[in-house]
Amino acid sequence: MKELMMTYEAIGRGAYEAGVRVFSADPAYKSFVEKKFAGDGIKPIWAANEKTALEIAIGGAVGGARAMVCLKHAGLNLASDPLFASAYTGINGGLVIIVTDDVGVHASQTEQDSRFYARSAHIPMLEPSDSEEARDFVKLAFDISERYDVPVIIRFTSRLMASGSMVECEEREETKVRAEEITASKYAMLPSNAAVRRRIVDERDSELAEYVNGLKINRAEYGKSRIGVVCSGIVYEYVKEALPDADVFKVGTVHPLPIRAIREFSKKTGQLFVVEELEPIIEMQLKAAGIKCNGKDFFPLHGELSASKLLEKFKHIPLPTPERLPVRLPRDIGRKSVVATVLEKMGVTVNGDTDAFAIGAGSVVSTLLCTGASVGMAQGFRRAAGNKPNNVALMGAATFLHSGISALAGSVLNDDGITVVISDDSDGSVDIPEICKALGIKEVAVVSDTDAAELERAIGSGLASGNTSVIIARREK
Amino acid sequence: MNVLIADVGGDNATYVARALTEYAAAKQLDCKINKLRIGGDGGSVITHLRFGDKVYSPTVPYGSADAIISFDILEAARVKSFLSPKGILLVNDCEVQSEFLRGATYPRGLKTSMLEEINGAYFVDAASLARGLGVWAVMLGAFNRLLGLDPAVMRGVVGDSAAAFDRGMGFLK
Repeated sequence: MKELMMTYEAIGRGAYEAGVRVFSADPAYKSFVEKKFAGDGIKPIWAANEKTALEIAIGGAVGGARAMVCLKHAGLNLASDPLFASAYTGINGGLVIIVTDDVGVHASQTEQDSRFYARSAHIPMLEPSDSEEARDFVKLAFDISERYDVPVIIRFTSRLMASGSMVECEEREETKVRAEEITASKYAMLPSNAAVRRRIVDERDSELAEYVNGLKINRAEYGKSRIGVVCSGIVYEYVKEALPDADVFKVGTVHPLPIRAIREFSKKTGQLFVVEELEPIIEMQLKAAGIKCNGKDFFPLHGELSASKLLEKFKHIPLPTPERLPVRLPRDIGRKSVVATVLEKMGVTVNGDTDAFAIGAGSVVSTLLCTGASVGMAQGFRRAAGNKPNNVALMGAATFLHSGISALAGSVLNDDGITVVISDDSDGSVDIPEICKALGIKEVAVVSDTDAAELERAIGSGLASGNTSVIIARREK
Repeated sequence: MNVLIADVGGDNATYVARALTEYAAAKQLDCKINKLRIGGDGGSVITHLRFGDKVYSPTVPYGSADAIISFDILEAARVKSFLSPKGILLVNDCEVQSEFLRGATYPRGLKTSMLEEINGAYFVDAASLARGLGVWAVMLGAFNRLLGLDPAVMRGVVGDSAAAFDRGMGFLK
């Protein structure tokens, strides 16, 4: 019996069926997986940040279990350090990394293409088109991972993640923890070991490049028209919708590409188009392989595609209305915390963080770079201003845990006297004032987040002191 | 069948989508949904739902929705370009007041202009017909009256709100 599942539910189902034993993510993914995992006896490990999340999953895999981690594109940036090394060490039990690129910038600071990571880190990457493939590809990814002793990334986009389609469930495969002797020469990436492993990575790349040509998820579908389209992921669905008669090569492994199979396809079809969102990754590789094609000369490097956009390009059917840029919730922009109001009144530059909206400070931040960046930005900013105290770093409890702590430790080492405001919206399970004191920060003030006068006094005092100071605006229960 | 559901906040859209996906499953049809929430609580939530023998894109292309079910007049205006020339625009005759960007206020005259512009535009006073039951079920009843899905199966997937569904079915009398 088929049932409709959202893509993220289907990923969870695939993980369950594949016999995953270790699952990690940062807590933002709680709602994402709990529904599918909670009843299945798999207890997720919630990491403070994405680098740790990936390290947990790698630890689980090296320990012999099938392991999975869920990240978004920006999280993969942070996790890129263990990512690259894990390609060298290989894994023991299977390791699958789920990454979601925010094509269209619906909820992120950047719009970036994680396919580059697969190529750069020498890690295979699959890209499914719907929920059924999401479930199915998870299982295939584990097979590839174990067969080739390599992590496998499965790439999604925000649009696909927010979509759902019919899924036919299968039984769970009961996996065993794989016994393997954990040898330092394979798993300890000292330079002498890494140099040896690097050669094994290259050999594996060659084997994988050949293997993918015969995979069923890389397939040619011939139609009646004399247009050939190479595509992957959700774009495949748009192509089938808008160009039902076209010849289509559906790429399931975006890295490595099935170059030989695509070359054969290109010989049997007419003018060849690569239709891909964001960067011309498939197009560049086809051109490098001497396969003539069009791509980014027709489609932009940014934003989402859709069946409507393909109809506009290929059949000259105009789009009815201009595309609207994503906006934040009116409620979020409208909500202004007492802390934000005080900072605005004080007229200081606010070096914010990615939880600025969540803590009601979306309208007062001057800079917002990435998660955990408030402290580092404030340090550089303060130094550039000749140590004139005209800026504060502002973050929430989640960002503090994510990477604020290590940034603060660095600030203490430099004794650079920045002023940090932490809007403590947590449940109190982490003692932020004690952590700050333990880092060596002498000026730590805890103020009610509704007491404007006291907040202004404390922040003013921190700015005037010349020492590194932390003002914790604690949520009133 | 291509359906767009426009809502504020998203609860009504969730109920309608659940009913229609259960309908598609009962009829053994292929079905896809997309519900990218740009709104969250209190913002616009647009859900695409498609079912038939084979569905590709989870989103409805512009100009090809067989029906739009909107729970607010402004949200209907926001998505009306998705409607096919013969499509049905079914609107809960109500203005959901919430905060707007940059202090904007609820636009006037939208209902009149949509009635002039779109042949298949219908406005339903769903709250009155709901009589304490789900507004969504009234809208689904009106939708079924206009689109002619299997009423027995539809009543089955509506569950406890069948009475509201029936009053929606009868809204054109």
